[in-house]
Amino acid sequence: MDPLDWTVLTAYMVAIVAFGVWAGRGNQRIDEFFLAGRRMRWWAVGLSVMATQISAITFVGTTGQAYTDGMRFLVFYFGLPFAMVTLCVTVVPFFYRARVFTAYEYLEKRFDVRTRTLTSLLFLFGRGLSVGVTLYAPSLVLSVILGWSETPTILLMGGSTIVYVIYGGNRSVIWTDVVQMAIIWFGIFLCFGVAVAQLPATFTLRDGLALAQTTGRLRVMDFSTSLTAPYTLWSGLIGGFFIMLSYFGCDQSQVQRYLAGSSLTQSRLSLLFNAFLKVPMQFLILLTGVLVFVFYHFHTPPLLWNRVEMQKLEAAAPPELAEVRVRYDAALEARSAAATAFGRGERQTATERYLAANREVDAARKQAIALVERIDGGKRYNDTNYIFPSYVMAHLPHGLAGLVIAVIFAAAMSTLSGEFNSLATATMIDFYKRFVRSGGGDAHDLLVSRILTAAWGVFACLVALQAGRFGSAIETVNRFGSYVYGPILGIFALAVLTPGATARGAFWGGLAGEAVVGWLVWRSPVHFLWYTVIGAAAVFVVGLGSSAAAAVASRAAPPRGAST
Amino acid sequence: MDAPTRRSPQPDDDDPVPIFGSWRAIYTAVVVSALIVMGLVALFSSWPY
Repeated sequence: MDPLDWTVLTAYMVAIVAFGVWAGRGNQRIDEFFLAGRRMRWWAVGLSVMATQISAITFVGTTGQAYTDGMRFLVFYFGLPFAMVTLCVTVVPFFYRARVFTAYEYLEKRFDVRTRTLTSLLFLFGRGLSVGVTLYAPSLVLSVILGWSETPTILLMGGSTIVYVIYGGNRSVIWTDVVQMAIIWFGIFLCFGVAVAQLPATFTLRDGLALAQTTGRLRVMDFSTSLTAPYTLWSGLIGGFFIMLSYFGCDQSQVQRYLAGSSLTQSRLSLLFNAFLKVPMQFLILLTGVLVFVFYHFHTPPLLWNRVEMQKLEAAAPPELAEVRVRYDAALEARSAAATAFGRGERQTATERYLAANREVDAARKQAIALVERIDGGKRYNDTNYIFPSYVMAHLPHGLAGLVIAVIFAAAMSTLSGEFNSLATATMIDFYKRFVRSGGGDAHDLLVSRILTAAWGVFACLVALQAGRFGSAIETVNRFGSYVYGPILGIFALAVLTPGATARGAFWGGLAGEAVVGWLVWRSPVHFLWYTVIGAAAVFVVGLGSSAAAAVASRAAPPRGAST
Repeated sequence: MDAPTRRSPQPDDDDPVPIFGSWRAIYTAVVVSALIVMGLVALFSSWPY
């Protein structure tokens, strides 16, 4: 990196930690530490909710996905506005009026301690496993792009986040999220503007969109009703709706953000703020990825985006590599010539040539990927996450490149801070204060809360430092959220929507739902967007059935004390 | 906490709803804007550039 980029990145890191510590000063009790004293305004909470959701890997992965596959991933967010309205009408008032610290605490008030403990454990298990990956994934990408070792990247991101979350708790999390979200928004607009400005003078944005359209990259709406097809309109609307319901309504890392609202109105508005802005924001991020794809018609993209893997391939020098290179370079040249003709207004004649050259580029890359996988002993190769950071480092002016790297750090840290804070809250409130020591006093509780925050932060760093050894298991762990969201959502649906549901029904329904999702994961080709819908439905059916059966049995049983 | 009944959730008793005036209006605005955004995205995808 250039010294100017280093200066920007260093200034960001120092400023965000100092600001986080300053913003979180003065915590005396755990309601201040975990819920920011319930005094936050909707716009701050809304930005924090948004920042917690957008992780670094979402930011770099989504742009990369738009580059390789197009914008159809956008449908994943189509269910979000409807989920937000549903949550505002249903669970948010219950959480707020119950004055709870964790979403799971409400379940003990509604059902029993067993159901509360089960759901809190599911959250700790899912979120605890994924927090290490949240830290590892961007560290891996940045280490390859910047040529750093993974260890300092992990320690820098994780360590600096731990510092301000331990000190300031949720208030630090929310206020740093506000700043980080502002930086992320600025970065998104900046990248979009730079990508448009870097198109050749004779090639307009309209030409670029037309070119992307011919490859299908602007296609968003897929009306297929197949349960195995990825990112159809229906899986986005229905599956996405249930995933968002579960994530924003039952995942403590989000619930804790809006429980910090100064009133029920402020909490609701923070979610509705996201309902309005989330889809346009993701649209802009995906469109930036498409523009990067167009940009590389007039600049030479590397054969493989992962520089380390490319170096390994060159070192191994399989005999086919030279041939693949020649094929790739020729295809790029033909594609660039066709794209230039396309921009000159010769669309009719250039389109066929362009599509043929583009297919040839893809085929040459597939050959190179097959070579990498062969020399890596069959390990699957995917370089989608490396595309956007590679573009930033190679083609953005010095200073701006450092700023976009700071945006990636900001996206990672805003997610991590919320996760450390929520994991510590669930451990403290649902386990320590419930089963170990309930009346320790403010100073004791605050100390234990900070120790738990540090413990989860260190745990995340340790998992991230070891994650490289887990190989493909990382991808499984990364999807773990979708394995537990359905059962948790089903239990909350029973709690809020069905007055007749019993504690026993909710508990056994939760276990049955988890078993159904487990079967789907291991034994069915159903796309993961449907896991939450099916898991929640299983809990609801089994939970209601079990509750109804218990009610019938108790009515049929003779009254206690009656003689036979 | 008691199980929810047909009467819950209770009417809101805190801050007034800004700009839109009522919860019904703001929820309607969210749903309508979501549908409009989806329509615009579909139009963007199929626009003859």
